[in-house]
Amino acid sequence: MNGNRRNDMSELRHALNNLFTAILWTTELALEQAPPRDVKSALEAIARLAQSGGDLVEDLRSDAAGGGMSWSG
Amino acid sequence: MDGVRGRKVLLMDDDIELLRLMAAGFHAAGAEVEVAADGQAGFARFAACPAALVVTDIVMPLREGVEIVAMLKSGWPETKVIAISGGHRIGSEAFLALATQAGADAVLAKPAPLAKLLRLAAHLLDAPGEASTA
Repeated sequence: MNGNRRNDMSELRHALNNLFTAILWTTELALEQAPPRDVKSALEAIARLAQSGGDLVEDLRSDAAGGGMSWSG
Repeated sequence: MDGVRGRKVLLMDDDIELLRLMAAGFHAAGAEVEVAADGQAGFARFAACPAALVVTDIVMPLREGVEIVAMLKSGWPETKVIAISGGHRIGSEAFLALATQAGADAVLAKPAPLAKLLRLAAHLLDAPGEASTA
């Protein structure tokens, strides 16, 4: 992996982390509005997914730092 | 969230959407909110009218967050500073470690819940303590 490729990947991780943060914070602010129960459940699911997305980004970083990536499923 | 209510906070992030959302969260918690989209504008705003708490992104144009943390803690040691980062060239942990070394009272890796950031801010303003990592 050359330097440009590393920069591309780090910028992508940064952008993804910011994107997942925006989704998470938007969802939290919407939950503050006391939405109906079904909407609340959906918003809570979106928040969990955003946090899972952040975990995936961290996994990508860890795998890249370890010199390899493995994917399953 | 009594620690934030009525307190002046300055939020710095070059991601305008995140800045807007963060401001909405702090505003809803009762804080007096100032925002800046780069480190240079943020520091100028702070110097003109210091805040009790600063939340700063690390990777920003014109003046980066680690430099902001060091400048704030050098000139205004009583001001509480939270550094947040989504990582970049060297990853969130490395940036946040640098922010801690520069004197940040707390660091937070994105994506972290807004509620967690608000709790951390309230904690720092209510009960000053040692630097913490979240």
